[in-house]
Amino acid sequence: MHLTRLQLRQVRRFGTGVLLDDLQPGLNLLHGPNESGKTTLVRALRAVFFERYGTTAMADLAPWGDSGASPEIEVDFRWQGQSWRLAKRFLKGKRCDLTIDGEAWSGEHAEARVASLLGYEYAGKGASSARHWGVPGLLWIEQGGTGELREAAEFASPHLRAALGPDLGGLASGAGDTILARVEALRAELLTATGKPRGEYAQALAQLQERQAQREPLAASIREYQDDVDRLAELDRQQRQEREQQPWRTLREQQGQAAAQLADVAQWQARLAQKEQDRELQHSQLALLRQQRADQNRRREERARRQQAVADSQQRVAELTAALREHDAALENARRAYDQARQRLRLARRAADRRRDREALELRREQADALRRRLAEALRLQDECLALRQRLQAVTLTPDSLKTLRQLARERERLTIQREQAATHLHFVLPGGQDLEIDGERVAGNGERQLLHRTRLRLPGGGELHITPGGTDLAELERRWARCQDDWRTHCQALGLAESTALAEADARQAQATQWSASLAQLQASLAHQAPDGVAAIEFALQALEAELARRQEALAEVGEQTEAGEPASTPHPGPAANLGTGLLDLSEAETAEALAEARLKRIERDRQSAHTALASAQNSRQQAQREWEHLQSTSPAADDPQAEADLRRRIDDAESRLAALQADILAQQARIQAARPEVLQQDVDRLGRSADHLETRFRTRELQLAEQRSRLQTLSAEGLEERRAELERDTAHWQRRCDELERRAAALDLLRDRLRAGRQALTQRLQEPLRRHLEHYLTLLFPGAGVVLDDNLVPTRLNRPAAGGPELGDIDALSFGAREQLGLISRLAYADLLREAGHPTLIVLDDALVHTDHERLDRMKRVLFDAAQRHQVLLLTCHPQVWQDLGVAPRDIAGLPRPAEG
Amino acid sequence: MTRLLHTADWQIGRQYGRFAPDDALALAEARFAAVERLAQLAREHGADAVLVAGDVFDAQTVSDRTIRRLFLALEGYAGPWLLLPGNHDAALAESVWERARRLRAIPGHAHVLDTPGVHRFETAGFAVLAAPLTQRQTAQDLTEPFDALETPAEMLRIGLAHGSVQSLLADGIDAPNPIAADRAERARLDYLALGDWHGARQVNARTWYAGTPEPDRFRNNESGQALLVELDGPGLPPRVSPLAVGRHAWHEWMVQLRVATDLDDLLARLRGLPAPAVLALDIEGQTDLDGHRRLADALAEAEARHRSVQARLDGLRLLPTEAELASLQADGYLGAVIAQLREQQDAVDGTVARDALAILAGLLAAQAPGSREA
Repeated sequence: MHLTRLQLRQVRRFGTGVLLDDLQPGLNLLHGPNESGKTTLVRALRAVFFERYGTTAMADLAPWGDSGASPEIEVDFRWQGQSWRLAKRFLKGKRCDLTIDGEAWSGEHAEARVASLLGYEYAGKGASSARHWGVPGLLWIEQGGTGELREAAEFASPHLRAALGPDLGGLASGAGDTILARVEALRAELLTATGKPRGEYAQALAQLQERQAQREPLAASIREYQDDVDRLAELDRQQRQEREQQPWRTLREQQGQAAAQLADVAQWQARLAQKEQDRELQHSQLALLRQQRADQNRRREERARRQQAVADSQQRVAELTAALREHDAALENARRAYDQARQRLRLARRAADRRRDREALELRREQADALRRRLAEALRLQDECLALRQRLQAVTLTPDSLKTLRQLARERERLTIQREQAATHLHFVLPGGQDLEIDGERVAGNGERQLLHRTRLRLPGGGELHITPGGTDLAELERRWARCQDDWRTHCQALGLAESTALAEADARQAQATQWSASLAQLQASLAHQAPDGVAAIEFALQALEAELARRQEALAEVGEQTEAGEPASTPHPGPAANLGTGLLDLSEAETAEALAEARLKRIERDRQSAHTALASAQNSRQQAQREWEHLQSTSPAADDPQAEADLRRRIDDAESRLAALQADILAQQARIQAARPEVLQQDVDRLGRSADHLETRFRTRELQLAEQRSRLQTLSAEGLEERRAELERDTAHWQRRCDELERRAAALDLLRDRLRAGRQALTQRLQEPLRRHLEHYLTLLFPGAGVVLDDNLVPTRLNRPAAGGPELGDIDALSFGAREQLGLISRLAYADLLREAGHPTLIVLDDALVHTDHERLDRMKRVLFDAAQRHQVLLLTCHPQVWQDLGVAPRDIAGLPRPAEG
Repeated sequence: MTRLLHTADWQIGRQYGRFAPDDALALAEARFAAVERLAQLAREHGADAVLVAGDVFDAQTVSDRTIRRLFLALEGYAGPWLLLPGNHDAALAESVWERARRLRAIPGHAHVLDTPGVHRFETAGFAVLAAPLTQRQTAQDLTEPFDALETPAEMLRIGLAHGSVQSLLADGIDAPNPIAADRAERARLDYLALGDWHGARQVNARTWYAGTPEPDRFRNNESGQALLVELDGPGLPPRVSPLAVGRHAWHEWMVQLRVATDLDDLLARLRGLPAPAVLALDIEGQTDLDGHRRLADALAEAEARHRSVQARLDGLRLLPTEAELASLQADGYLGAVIAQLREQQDAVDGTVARDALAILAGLLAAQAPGSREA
C-alpha cells in the first residue's frame, strides 16, 4: 500500500486546508515543531479511515471556534496497481466517497470497502476506539504509544492469525482450545491449580478419612466388648463351679478338726499346769524339810565348837601362866647379871682414868724439858744477834754519807783535772846524780810537775827559780780545790776512812755490812723459829707447865693412895678385877659385857611383858568362851531328839520320791503336747479359716462383679457396636471407592490437560514460526543473537539474550521503558512483514517514536526502520528532524506544506 | 408326615460395603424380606417347624431395632421357629439372644435353642438335638454328644448344628467348629440340619446344608434357597426339596472383548439377565469409541434395571477407528494427543491414559456435529 496524498480542509489548525502529496513508497520524514499541525495530520488520517462519516462525535476535528465547519479529509493511495481515493466530510454536509480506479462508492459501502481492505472495524456509534482499529491500530503508532503493544496486538489478533495461516486460526477457534478449556474446567472441579484435591474429591477424601478415623476406636470398643464377654463367661463358669463345689466348706471342716485337736491339747496343757503346780509345792516342802535337817546339824556343830573353844582357852591360860613364871625367873637372873656387869664397868673405868693421868704427867714433863732446851738456844741466838748487830753498826755507812763521799770524790777529781789543765807543766830531765828541789821537794830523774802557784825551784848549785803560773782562774780553782780537799778530808775522817783509800774502803765496808746483815737475818730467823713469841713467852710457858706438872704429880700421888687402900675388897669379879691395871682392853670388855647384859635384860623384860599380855588376852578369851558357852547352854539347853531326827529323815525321803514321780509324769505330758504341735494346729485353724473366708469373700465379690459386668455389657450391647462397624465399613468402602474413582478421574484429567497443553504448545510454536522469523530478523539488528518467546496473542513475552553466563531469559515487562519501546516497534514491524506476506496492505505511521531510546540504540533502530521501509511505506512524524537526518530521505516541514487547490 | 423347613445363615445385620449406599441398604433390607418369605413358605407348605441352623444374626451387637425387626419378621408363620446360635451369634455369656430376651422381643413361637441337648416338641412329634455354639469358635465337634442323647423311640430325632462338615468342605468357609460327616448315622438322626455353608448342599441322605435364603456373595453356590424336609417317620429316609427364597441373584462375569461381536454378545447377555440382580463385571480386551459408548449405555441401563451393577473396565483398551477420529474432528493437536494416549494405554499404568482417552473421546463426541449438545 502506498499512500500518495493527504488533503485536509477545515480540520483543526488547518482551517484553511493543507495538502500533503508526493508521498514516497518507502520512508517519509515529516517534521515540525509542537503545535505545527503534526498531530492534526495523524488525527486526520485516523479519522478518514476509522470514523464513520455520519457520526456526530467528530467536533474535535473542526477548527477552533468554528462550530459551523465541515472538516473534509481526502486521502489517495495505491494498492495492487489500483488507485484509491477516499474522501470524507464530517459534521456539516457529511459524506463519504471512494473511487477505485474511477469506480465510485459512497456512504457506508465505501467505508466497508476500505475497512475490509485495511482490516479494521467501525464503532457502532460515536467515535471509534482502539478496539476497533485492528491492523492499523497495530501499525499506526501514536505519540508515546510505541510500547502499548499487547492491547493493540489483541485487537489485531484475528488478522494476524489469519496472516499466519488457517492452522493457527484453528488453534484458537477450533475444537482444541475448547476441549482444553473443558478439560481444565473438569480438572478444576477436582483439583486445585497446584494439584491438591478440591470440591467433591476433597469432600470424598474427608469423608473417607473421617470414617477411617472411626474404625480403630470402634474396633477397639468391639474388642474390649468381646473380651468383656469372655471375661464374663469365665467369671460365670468359675462362679457356677464354686457354687456347686463350695470349696470353702471342705476348708471349714478341716478347720473344725484342727480346732478339736487344739481343744484336746488345751486340756492336756491345763492338766500339765496343775501337775507343775503340784511339783512346785512338793519342791518347797522338800526344801523346808531339808532346811530343818540342816538347822539340826548346824546347832550340833555349834555346841561342839563352843565347848572346844572353852577348853582351848583354859589350856592356853594355863600354858601362858607357866610361861610367865619362867619369864619372871629369867628376868631375875638377867637383872642380877646386869648389876654385876655394871659394877665391873665402874671399876674398869676408874682404873683407866688413873692410867691416863699418869701418862699426862709424863707428857708434861717431856714438854717442860723441851721448853727448857728451846729457851737456852733462843738465848744464845739472841746474844749472837746482839753481837753481830753491834758489829754491823760499826761498819755500816749510811747511804747519804756514802753518796756525799762519792760526790766529793768526783768533785775533787774534776777540780784536780781542771787544775792540771790550767797549771803550768814542768818537765824535767835530770841526769843521774843531779837533783833539784821544787818547793822544797827533791826530785831526781825525769819527771813532770804542774805548777799551780808560784813555785820555787831550787836548782842544784843553788840557784832558785820561781815560777808563777799565769791566769786569774787558777787561783779560784786552787781555792775551790782546797775547799774540796778539806771537805773530803773531813768527811773521810768522819767516816773513819783513810783519805787515800777512802772509796775502796767504803766499798769494802759496804760489802762487809751486807754480809753481816745477811748473817744477822739468818740468826734472827732461827731465833724467831725457836721463840716465835719471844724468849719471854717461852719462859712464861715453861713456868706454867712446871706449875701444872707439880699439881698433877700431887694429884696422882693422892689417887694412887686411894686405889690401893679401898678397891680390892669390893671387887667380886675375879677376872678383870684381877687385872685392873692392864688398861684399856678390860674397859672395853666390861663395856661390851654391860651392853650385852643390858640388852638381854631388856629382851627378857619385853618377853615377859608379852607373855603377860598374852596371858591377859588368853584369860579374856577364856572368859568370853566361857560366857558364850554359858549363853549357849542357857539358850539351847536340850540336846536333839534322835526320834525327831529320824522322823525328819523319813519325811524327806517321802517328799523326794513323790517329786520324782511327779516330774516323770510332767515330762511325759509335755512330750505328748509337743507331739501334738499345738502352734501348728493353731496355724492350721487360722489358715483354713482365712482361706475359707477368702474363698467365700471371693465368691461374693465375684457375684457382684458378675452383676456389674452383666449390666455393663448389657449397656454396651445396646449400642449395636458391630452393626455400627458393619455400617462404617460399608460407608468406608463406599468412600474409598468414590475416592479411587475421583482420583482416577483426576489423574486422567491431569494427564489429558498436560497432553493437550503440550500438544497445543508444540503446535503454537510451529505456527508462530513465520512471525518469529520476522521478529528475529529485526531483533538481530537490535540485540544480536537474541530470540523471543511469543504468547498465544503473538505478543513477545520473553526475551532470550546471550549473556556472559549463558543465555539469559527475561520477561519483557521487566525491561526498561526504552527497551520495551524498541521491542514494541520491532514487533509491529514484524507483524507488518507477516501481514504483507499474507497479502495485506501495510502502512506504518510513527508519531514521535523512540523518544526514550538512547543514541546508540537509536542508530540501530534507524537501520531497522530503514530496512522495514524497503518493504513498507513509513510515515515518520517528528519534532526533532536533526535526529533523523541520517535516514537517507529529505525531511519535509509541515509548516511549509501547501494549501490544497480550491475545489 | 412331618414337614420341616430347613434354613440357616440369615446373617441379619450384614452390611455390603462394596456397593453404593443405596444398593447396600436395599440388600440389607432384602435379608429381612427373605425371612418374611420363609414365614410365608412355611405357612404355605404347612411346615411343622422352621429349623434355623445358626447365624441368624450377623453379629452379637446389632441394634435393638434390628433385633425387633427380625422377630417381627417371624410373624408370618405361627411356628414353632427353632433358632440355633451359630458362630456369628454364639450363645456367649452376653449375646444377642440375651439382649433379645431382655428386650422381650422373642415371641412365644420362637425357640432359641441356646442350651445343648434334647428339646422335645411333643405335639409335632419330634425331638431336636441341638448343638448351639457357646463360643465363637471351637475345635471340638459339638454334635458328638448327639450319639449318646436318648429320645423317645416314637419321636423323630432331628439334629440341628452349625459348623463345617469334616473332609467335605476342605476349603470351606469356617474351618473351625467341625462336624463329623457321619454324625447323622452315628447319632441315629432322622435328619441333621446344618448351617454355616451359604449354599444349599447335601452331605448325605440325612444331612443337608440349607444355605442362606438371600444370597450375599458372588460365588455361585446355590444360595437363596430353603429346604423343605418331609419325614414320614422315625428311621425312614427324608425327602428334601429346595425352595427358592432369595430375591437377588448375584452374578460375577468375566468378559473378554476381542471383536465387535463379543460386545454384541455381552449386551445381549445383559439384556437377558433377570432383574433384580447383583452383577459384577470385569471387562477386558478392546473396543472402539462406538463400542465403548454402547457398552456405557448398556451398563447405565442395567444399573437402572438391577440392584447393582459394578463394571471394572481397567482391562478394556479404547481403540478409536480412523473414521471415528475423523468424525470427532480431532483437528490440530487433538489428533496428536489422541494418538499419544492410545499408545500409552498399552504401557504400564495405562489405566490413566485409557481414562483420559475416554474423557477426551466423550468431550469430542459431545462437541461433534450431530451430537445431542451440538
